[in-house]
Amino acid sequence: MATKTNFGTYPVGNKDAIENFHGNQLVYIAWDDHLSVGPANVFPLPPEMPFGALISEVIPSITSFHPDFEKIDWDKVQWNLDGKTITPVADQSIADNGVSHKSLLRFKTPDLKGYQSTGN
Amino acid sequence: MAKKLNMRKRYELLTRGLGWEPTYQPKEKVFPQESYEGIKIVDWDKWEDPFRLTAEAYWKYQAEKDKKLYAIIDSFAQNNGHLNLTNASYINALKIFIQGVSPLEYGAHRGFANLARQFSGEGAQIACQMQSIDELRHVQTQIHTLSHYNKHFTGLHDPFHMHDRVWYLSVPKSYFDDARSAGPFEFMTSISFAFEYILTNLLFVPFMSGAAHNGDMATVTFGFSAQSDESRHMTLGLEIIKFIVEQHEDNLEIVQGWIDKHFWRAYRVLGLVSAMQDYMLPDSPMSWKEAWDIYFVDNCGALFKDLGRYGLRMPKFHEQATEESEHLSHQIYTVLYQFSHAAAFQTEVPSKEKMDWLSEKYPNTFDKYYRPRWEMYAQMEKEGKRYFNAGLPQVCQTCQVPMCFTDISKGNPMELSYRVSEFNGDKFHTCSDGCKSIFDHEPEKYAHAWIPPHQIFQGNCGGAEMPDVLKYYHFNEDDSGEYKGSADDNSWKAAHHNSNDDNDIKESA
Amino acid sequence: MSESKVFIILQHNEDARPFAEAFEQENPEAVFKYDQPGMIRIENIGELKITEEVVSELAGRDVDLQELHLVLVSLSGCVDEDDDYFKVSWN
Repeated sequence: MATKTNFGTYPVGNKDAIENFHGNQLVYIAWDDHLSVGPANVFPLPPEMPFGALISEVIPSITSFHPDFEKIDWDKVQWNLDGKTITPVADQSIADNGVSHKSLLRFKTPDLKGYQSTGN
Repeated sequence: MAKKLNMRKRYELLTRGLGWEPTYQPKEKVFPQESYEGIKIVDWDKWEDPFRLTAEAYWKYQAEKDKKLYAIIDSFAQNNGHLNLTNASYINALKIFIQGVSPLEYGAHRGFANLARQFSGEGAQIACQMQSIDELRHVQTQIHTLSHYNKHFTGLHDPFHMHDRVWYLSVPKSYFDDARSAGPFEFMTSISFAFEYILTNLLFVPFMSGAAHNGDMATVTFGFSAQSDESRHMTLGLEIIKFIVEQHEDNLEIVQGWIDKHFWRAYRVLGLVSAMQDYMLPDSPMSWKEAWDIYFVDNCGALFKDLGRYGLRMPKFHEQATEESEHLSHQIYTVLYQFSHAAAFQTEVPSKEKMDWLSEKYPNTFDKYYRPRWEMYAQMEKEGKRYFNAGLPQVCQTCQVPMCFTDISKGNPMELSYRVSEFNGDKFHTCSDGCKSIFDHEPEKYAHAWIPPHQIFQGNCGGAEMPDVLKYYHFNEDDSGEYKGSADDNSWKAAHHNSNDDNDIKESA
Repeated sequence: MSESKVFIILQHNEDARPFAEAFEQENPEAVFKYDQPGMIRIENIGELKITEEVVSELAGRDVDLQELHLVLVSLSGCVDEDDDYFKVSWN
């Protein structure tokens, strides 16, 4: 349903359109069952960044403090992109792996359930 | 001598017969905002203010309230009343208040001034004028009162500058901007009814009581002084809803939609209050959950039973708000804790006594879900690695709260709640069914929301590095971070070094 | 009369005393709570009412009922007032 306005209409286009991010796209990343990290984090990332770099550089920047971090077996990690299970290819770009502007990428570590297995 | 007119007659003379029918311009052009929302007003004379205050009585009582307030503020300052607080950490709640709430009072002042101009009924014009002046009085008295604390504590120095820029303040700001950028009837439903009537008791009553409990007589006094006006505003909010719905049958559905929307918007803003109440008051007289049960479940239950005969029902998603009441403060305060390196207040892991109080008040949730989190952070702090989140959070497109809420209503209290909508080729993320439903109803509006982390990445907030952004926020170096060892903590300890006895403290100050 | 609860919260101070006492006298069923610092919470089923006569008698002077504005903190219910009475009720 359209918004009712008194003076004209809202401008076309979105305030956070990809063009406004200087060649980057926004990606939200969250580690399930680890709420002590916080909400999903948002990063401006080049679409051509390899998925492997996202694993080796981006994700540790927010999660490496966690006692579970060094126990992660990355081969067992389950990935969920915008609500769908994916199997990412590390040397392909995030864009080629289906990560688009404002995608939500969640990962689950089946054997690790947070601090004292409380989901924290 | 003529007999004094009775109250009804005096009110009638003030509010009737002062308007006129325009002759050289059509009425729609004189009151250009009155009809586009679809609300149909047949007879403005049916508008009846339950408090029939005349202008004379209004000025008399307001002057009296101010006189009392300023006498107390003066004596508070002369006696260094700030030294009688339970603890300086309490001041962090006041920082959020003046940064987050006082600018809303100013927004309300402007909003009601606009309504006084835009409504064509004289009764409504008078009521909105008085409320506009009330709101200006509130912001002024709050600034005057808290300016004493600004001489002694951090974070209180630039509230209005911060309000327009800082990430956590975009939560209250965006709610008021949402209401103020809507039409006059929606603004009225939002602020007077959803905010003032349904929820304002949850803000002021426990908070002021908390201030009294923590030795802050100055805040108690401005709070009560403002609250005496709020009672009038609340009553007006209830009357206006009945008035609109009774004017025309087409109005009911529109008003119910606004009640649904603004209840949820205002409720999300109050998440900040829940954190202040449960975590930031060193001594809390009442938990958020207890306040919610009294002021929402009981009180609004009674209210909507009464409104049922007008065809109005409880706001959509109110069940989810009640289900969240045992989780809300813990989730919000976690975010404030994790990101307080980028906030103009300080936070700390709750003390052992505080955690025991939280266990007692939240027997179903605290020990199971939240205590382990605080113990983990406490352990990290002990190891010299006090936890701050190293990135920027995803925030909800509608309420702009960092997406810390979990799917409680779906039985997953430890799984973050994600909702997403597509609009105009992009994805828009929201934190809850309530916020998604609001977004989906007016995506054209929310697609233009000023989302703080996104604005930082677009380069609109002073620079790419955290110090640049904090400078853009006008933060001082000692405004942020961990409370323990902060400037406030240190100066408090220095002032209370010699004795715990109140008399000695006053003398040494 | 409604089965729902109405309430009035007053500041707990001397100015509010004649009002609080009038509520007590004129609403014998009302419940008074003092558990929140600084305030008095007065609850009743259906309605709460005071009259100018009783408040003036308790204050020892002529009271204008609108002086209630000086000590009111909050209320729940529909307000009805005139020169000689003040009432909050659910219909």
